[in-house]
Amino acid sequence: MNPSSSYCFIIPPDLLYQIIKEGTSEQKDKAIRTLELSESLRTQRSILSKLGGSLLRVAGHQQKRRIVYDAKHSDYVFSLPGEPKRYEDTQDTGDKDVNRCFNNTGLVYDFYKEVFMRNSIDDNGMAMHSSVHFGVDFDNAIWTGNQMVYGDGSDLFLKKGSVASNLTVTAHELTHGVTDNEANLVYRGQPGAMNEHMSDVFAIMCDQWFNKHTVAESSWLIGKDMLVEGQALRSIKEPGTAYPSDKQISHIEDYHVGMRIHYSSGIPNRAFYLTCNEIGNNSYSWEKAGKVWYIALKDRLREYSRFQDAADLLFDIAGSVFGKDSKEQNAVYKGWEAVGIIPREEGPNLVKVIGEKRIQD
Amino acid sequence: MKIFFEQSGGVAGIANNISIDSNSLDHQEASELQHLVDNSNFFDLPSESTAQLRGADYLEYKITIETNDNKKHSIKTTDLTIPPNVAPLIRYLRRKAVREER
Repeated sequence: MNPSSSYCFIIPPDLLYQIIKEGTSEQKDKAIRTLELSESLRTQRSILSKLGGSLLRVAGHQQKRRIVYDAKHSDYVFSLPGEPKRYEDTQDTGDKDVNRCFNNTGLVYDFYKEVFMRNSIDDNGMAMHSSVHFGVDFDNAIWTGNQMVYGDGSDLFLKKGSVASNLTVTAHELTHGVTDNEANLVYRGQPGAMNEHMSDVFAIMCDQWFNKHTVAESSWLIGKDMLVEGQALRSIKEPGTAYPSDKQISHIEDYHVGMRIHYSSGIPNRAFYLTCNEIGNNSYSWEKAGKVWYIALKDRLREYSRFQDAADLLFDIAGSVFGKDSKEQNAVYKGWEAVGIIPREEGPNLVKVIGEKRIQD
Repeated sequence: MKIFFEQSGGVAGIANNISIDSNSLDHQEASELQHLVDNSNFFDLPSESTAQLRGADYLEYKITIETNDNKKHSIKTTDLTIPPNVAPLIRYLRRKAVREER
């Protein structure tokens, strides 16, 4: 079935708005699905801003809703999302990247739903839009603030076909959307590194959950086998060892102001691995450490949270969830201590976390 | 004409730099590059096209071009803010930088 044949894309935005606002429940549902499949995310934003999002929240879906588009090699983001190729209730297309992206997006949704009882990116059933074949030989994947975007790879840096088909990359990008909806960590300085860190650790937990890997069994690699030269994009277990010129760091002593966030995210990444290992190398990361990190992302971290804030909050959360001086709380302490950041026993300084905009250092 | 290109960020977080002197390219490639620069209206572009409120893992680019008659201009942009007429030039430079890195 041709996805575009089932929904009409020529309904003017104002009419869609009227139907969603004033139509019968059946008409509303059809209009909302048409809006989700709209080729123009600007149309969606225009209508959502008029509605204030409220009607869509009321209509909140409990099922996963994936839509994968073909960007047709355009490298201009305003031409996104592209031509719809696959959504729920449709079969495999002939395009491997579309199918793998669709399936992996579904796995990430299932991971968040089953492990953390989270319903999609916004925890309210938001449709997950992904565009594949972005640009020409584009060696990257992006979260635009509205959707996931995948290049094909050039076979010079990233292997062709590797970007849209890697589960950890999809989980990493989708988690940027989760972070936008929760802690909303700014994308620079230490908060930016924490933003990257959250995408990496939820991506590896998703991979471990899907493969039923314990701490000891996991590769702890993000983007495994994607590089033409090197084993992966990043190693959470041993930051700085993923490829020959990997510059990720794993200790605060090596950090300097202005460091690229993909390099400094190695500090909290290593702390997470060590925490999981301390809890037990035959345990599952998502069951205990994952729970603590998810609470931090959802309820405690803020836009300008830095490494020390995160260490304090995670230590505090582990104490609340598993008990003071529990094995789990001590594991969080040891994990952060090993990367040179000592969680403060007195707990997080909330005034500092919330009140100051400290991103330069 | 000399071109300095810096690329950083992306999901990989890897930085690449490249310098190109069009005088050192063969005639066909030099002509292709000149065409890409001309079509981008490079010297009329704002020096910063980076304003954005959201998003992650976009690549960031800085391009400086110096002509033989000492005209010089730099621009900064990202995957999310790239002016459409500059996209083909960036695509060329990105490939060139990756090849050089290898």
